Amino acid sequence: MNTNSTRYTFVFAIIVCVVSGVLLSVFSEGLRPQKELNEELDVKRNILKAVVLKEPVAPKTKAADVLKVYDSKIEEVVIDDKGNVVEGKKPKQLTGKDTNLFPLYLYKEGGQVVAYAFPVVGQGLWSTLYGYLAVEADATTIRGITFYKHGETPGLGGEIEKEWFQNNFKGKTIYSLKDHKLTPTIVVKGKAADVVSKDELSYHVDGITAATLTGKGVTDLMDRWVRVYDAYLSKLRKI
Amino acid sequence: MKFIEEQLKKVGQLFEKGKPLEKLYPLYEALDTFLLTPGKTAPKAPFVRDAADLKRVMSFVVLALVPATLFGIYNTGYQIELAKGLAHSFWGAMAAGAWKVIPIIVVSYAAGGLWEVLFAVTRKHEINEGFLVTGILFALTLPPTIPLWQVAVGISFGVVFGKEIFGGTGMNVFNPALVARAFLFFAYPAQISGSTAWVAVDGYTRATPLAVAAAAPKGTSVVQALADAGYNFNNMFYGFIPGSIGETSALACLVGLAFLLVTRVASWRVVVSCVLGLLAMSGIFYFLKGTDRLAFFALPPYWHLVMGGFAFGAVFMATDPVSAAATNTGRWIYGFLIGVLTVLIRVVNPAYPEGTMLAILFMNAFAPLIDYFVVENHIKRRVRVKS
Amino acid sequence: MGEALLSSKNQKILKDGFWDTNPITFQILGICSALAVTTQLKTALVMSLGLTFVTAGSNVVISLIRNFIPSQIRIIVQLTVVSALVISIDQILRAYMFDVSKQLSVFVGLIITNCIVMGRLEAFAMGNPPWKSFLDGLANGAGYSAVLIIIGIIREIFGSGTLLGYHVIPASVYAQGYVNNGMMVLAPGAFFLLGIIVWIQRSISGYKES
Repeated sequence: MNTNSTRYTFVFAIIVCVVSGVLLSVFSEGLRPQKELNEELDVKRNILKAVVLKEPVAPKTKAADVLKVYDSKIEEVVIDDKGNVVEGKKPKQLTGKDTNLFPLYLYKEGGQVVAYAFPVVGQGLWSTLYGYLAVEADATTIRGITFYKHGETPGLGGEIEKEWFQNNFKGKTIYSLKDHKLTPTIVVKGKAADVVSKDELSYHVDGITAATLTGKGVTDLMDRWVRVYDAYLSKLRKI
Repeated sequence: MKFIEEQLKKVGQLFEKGKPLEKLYPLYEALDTFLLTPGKTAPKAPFVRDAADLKRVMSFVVLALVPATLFGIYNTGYQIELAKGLAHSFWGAMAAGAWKVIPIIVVSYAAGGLWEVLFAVTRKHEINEGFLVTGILFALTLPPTIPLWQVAVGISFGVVFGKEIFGGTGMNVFNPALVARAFLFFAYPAQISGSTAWVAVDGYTRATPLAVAAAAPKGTSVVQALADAGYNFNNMFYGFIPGSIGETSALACLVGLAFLLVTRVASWRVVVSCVLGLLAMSGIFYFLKGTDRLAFFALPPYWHLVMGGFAFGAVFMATDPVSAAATNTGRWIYGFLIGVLTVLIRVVNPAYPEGTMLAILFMNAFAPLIDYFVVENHIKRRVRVKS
Repeated sequence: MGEALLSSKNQKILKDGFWDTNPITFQILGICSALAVTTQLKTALVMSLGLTFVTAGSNVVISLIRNFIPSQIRIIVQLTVVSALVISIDQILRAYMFDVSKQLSVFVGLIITNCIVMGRLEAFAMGNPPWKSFLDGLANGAGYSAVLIIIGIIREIFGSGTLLGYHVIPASVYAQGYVNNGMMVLAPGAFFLLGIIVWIQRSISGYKES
């Protein structure tokens, strides 16, 4: 058999293509549901983490448990830039074209809304920071924040993923009831208590040593998204 | 003198081949030649063209570092007094400073020396006297608050990876003290940057001039921002500011420079071209200044000379005869680019407030290439003239 | 074939791939992934398994069909086989080890272009029977894995103070002022470690620059 003839080469190439093609399709299709589940699970875990449900999101939690908690407690809605809920839309259906539609997650306990969570994205020093911010039912107090993806320097800007940094946000307010204005959280340089007055402590948090610019990124990101979601949140505040 | 010589000879017999202390010969040799003129000539670079050998050259550098060291000790103590609000006394400051600085220097010498001896014994070469310089240089580039174990880790890395890996003194591509510092800078950034590192008082924060200048918002005056933080040209020139131990005083570096130039240890071309490069680049920025540009642009160029570690780096690091360019034309290019890069990193790169260390290391890497092209070019020209 | 499964010749194949011509320390291949996936032991382990599986598997497949491959398109055929194996692994990871696959990101896909795999196919599988090729792939994969695992262990312990995610440096040490080494988490840290390993391995195995 002449393995170098043009005819043979073509036939051989086609066989190799078909065999590997079939094999890959089988793999890809067969595993699709599992893969999609994983991606969904990842998003849901982070939302749950932001609304501070410690137990169900420990890394070892079974997927089914996470989903059960999520499905029973989180309601997904989409809002527009006027702050109105868009009926019949789910966050999953949003595409890059929907620049004035935003996903919002309502955390309910016994039918009552306990917290609102929404994604925050912004530029750090080296990378884009991805996270979720959760606000209490009063639409003013921060319940929790989480950053789940970033490429900042480990030990410096990378500290934003650590609990000590994220815990600083808890209890801060994004709206000043006294001055009636928005107060997106500001990451200061150094310790907040040293830098700002007591009144302003409600919207300033400690910075990370030697990571001023990542801190600035977080400040910018807070400012941007708190303003976006204020369209919705402002309607909930009792003033 | 005669007495020392005789005693050393007597002790020296113990270290000869076949004697009990044979393995430790390098140690004996180091002491012997440090005290007396060595009996051998240098087999490899760096060569020096007069009666002095490498050991003498290195001793000169250590001597040149004395003003910076003493001032560093004094200033470390002085900053502590300021931060604590204590009354100022010269000897009080010296004592407080020495309490912080001396341990750093001792650890640097001890840990680095250990590796030096280890390599000398296993490779059966003599102890490199270059280490006398590396040990103190490294200590002076550190903030006074540095944990001592980090000093030990840093100098170990510098000696092994900055020098021994390449085959010891004379073969190293990078300045070992800078390699050691760069290692600490990237490995333990929280202890060697930021605003808490520079004054040896717990919990006290004060940003260095460079950090203040880099943080000045657009549209404001950078000189004013520095003045608000308590910095002006004079106190930065004299060095009564927080910073790494040996780098704060441009004046002390100038005294060291004068000594190095008189003894012809440092190349004046490198120092002059470093300054020219720095002024050129900061001059360009100054020319481009405007309200929509970084406030740092508007810093008068000559201020860069006295800020951060530039003076120290240009005088003691860039001029290191082993890792610098070796041709005269090459030295001009090498120094000039160090100056340019220093300003570029300081002003434009938001992640690193100081650029001297990175600029010198970067140009260390290019020094052989620069020399290569200079030599090639020279050969080509000679050939052309001939034909 | 009267040859025993682990005859002395076959043992030599194993030893060569693992030690004497170790793909990383001797051939200096696969450096990119060795730097990129070794910040944690877990990712290093998964990457090692993945690469070992691909090298051994593609070696066997190519060896089986080596006499039928037209020589003009042999590189393309090799690439197709390797890609098919790699993509399958990537899909499995995404389905069953999502966290790990997120950390490994593009590097599983990049096994396709890993020089070790193609190198073994060209150098060994094209001219040797399946069992020998399998051993060769296994040995080279193991050689690569050993280096990755060593680097992974050191980087995770010194960079994060953990091993496989468990804290191994006690809190009392941190209380004394110890801090994790940030360099170990960055690529240069792996680069230095790699240098040391090459240095040690070569001085033991008596490598001479030719």
